[in-house]
Amino acid sequence: MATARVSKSLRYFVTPDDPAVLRYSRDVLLEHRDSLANVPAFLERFAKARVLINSFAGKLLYVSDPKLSADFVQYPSETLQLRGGDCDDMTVCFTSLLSSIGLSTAFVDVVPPDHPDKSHIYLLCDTGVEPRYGTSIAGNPKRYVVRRNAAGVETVWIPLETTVAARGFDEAWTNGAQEYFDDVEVGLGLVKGWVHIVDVN
Amino acid sequence: MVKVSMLVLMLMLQPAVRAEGITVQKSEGDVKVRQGVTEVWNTVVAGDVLRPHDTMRTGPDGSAVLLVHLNAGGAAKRITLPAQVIVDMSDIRNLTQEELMLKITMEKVRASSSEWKNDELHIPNAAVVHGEDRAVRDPATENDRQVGQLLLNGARVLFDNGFYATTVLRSMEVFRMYPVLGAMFDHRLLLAQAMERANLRGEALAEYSSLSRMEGLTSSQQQVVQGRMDVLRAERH
Repeated sequence: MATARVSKSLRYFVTPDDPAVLRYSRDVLLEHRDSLANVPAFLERFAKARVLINSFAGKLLYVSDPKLSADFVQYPSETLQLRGGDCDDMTVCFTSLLSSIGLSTAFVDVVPPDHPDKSHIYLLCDTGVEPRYGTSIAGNPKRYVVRRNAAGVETVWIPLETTVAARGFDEAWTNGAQEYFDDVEVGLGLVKGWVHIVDVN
Repeated sequence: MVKVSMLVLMLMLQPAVRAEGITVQKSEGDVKVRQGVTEVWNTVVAGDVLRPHDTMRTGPDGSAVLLVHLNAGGAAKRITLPAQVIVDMSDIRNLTQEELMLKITMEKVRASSSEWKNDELHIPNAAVVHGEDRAVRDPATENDRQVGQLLLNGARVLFDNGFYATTVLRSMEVFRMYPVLGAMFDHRLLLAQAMERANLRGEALAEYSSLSRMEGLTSSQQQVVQGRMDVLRAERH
């Protein structure tokens, strides 16, 4: 469970330079080296995010209900070792893994105004794909977000709901995209101030 | 005069009015709906109820009539979708001027992340670069322009039904994804007109000004653009 203020401090639990994180992501990329070599260059980041998340998803033992967990956040190395955690732990861990291979990420921090007890956090990942090639990522533009990266270039970002990551990348993406559309586009959460996007790197 | 000003102010400050319910009143030919973030288009028939996250598409021989309740208990608005359009149901709503301006501004400053500018994380990169240049081997394919055109046709439907704010946002999004379409006079004119109707006079003037610098404008196009610029400038003084 996160709040706008907490998501900013969560950022300090993102440790892409932790040896355990680096070792894990490097091993996964090496393991999938051949399949990644066949991916078109402009889709490489997207493909790497997919294999990285699918790989860790296959190893997850549990994802706990955030309501049952205390305000305690695991470092990514702990989540990798324990193979589980709650919403915050998973978001921090996946953010660290994606960041360790050079992908930009951002937290989407949601505090519904009518249900502040149902606050939640998920993430956005920069695929590096230009918007004019967006259909290479998905035919339905509601599955991605066009936003500027740290370099000021507009790229395609995909929302990922990490609490369902145990069911794989596609499920995490579908759930994340639906949540983002409902929160930001339909609910106007960003404009109304109950959704915050915190860029991590 | 004071009463009129107060009324205008109250209207501007009212929150976004989203369609409470959208019912397909009539459907002819190829009319499909895509739900939420799925990739599948399903045939729609009269009587179906649509939700804000649905998208409707009409084919070359398709058309549909939607019955939209913008306010609970209020009168229903009838919207006709001609052939060859794509419309997001979430666009069938009125945004306040404040909401529209915030959305546009956010798009401009999204990358600023000012809070973190002096506090950058050093992110190492474990990726390994090797092998041939795949950018040459597998060039990227641009988004299908036909789809972009259907989306802009949908934006025109929004405009014709008075949803100027969402016309602006939809047009701007299409231009980002289909830069070729954003370089066409008619599409840019629609954006400028929608901005003007949405009371974004400064943005509209900038858009008309940009339009006036486009190459290859006919004299009638120049006349239209110059006419609107003159009106907007006169209103400023």
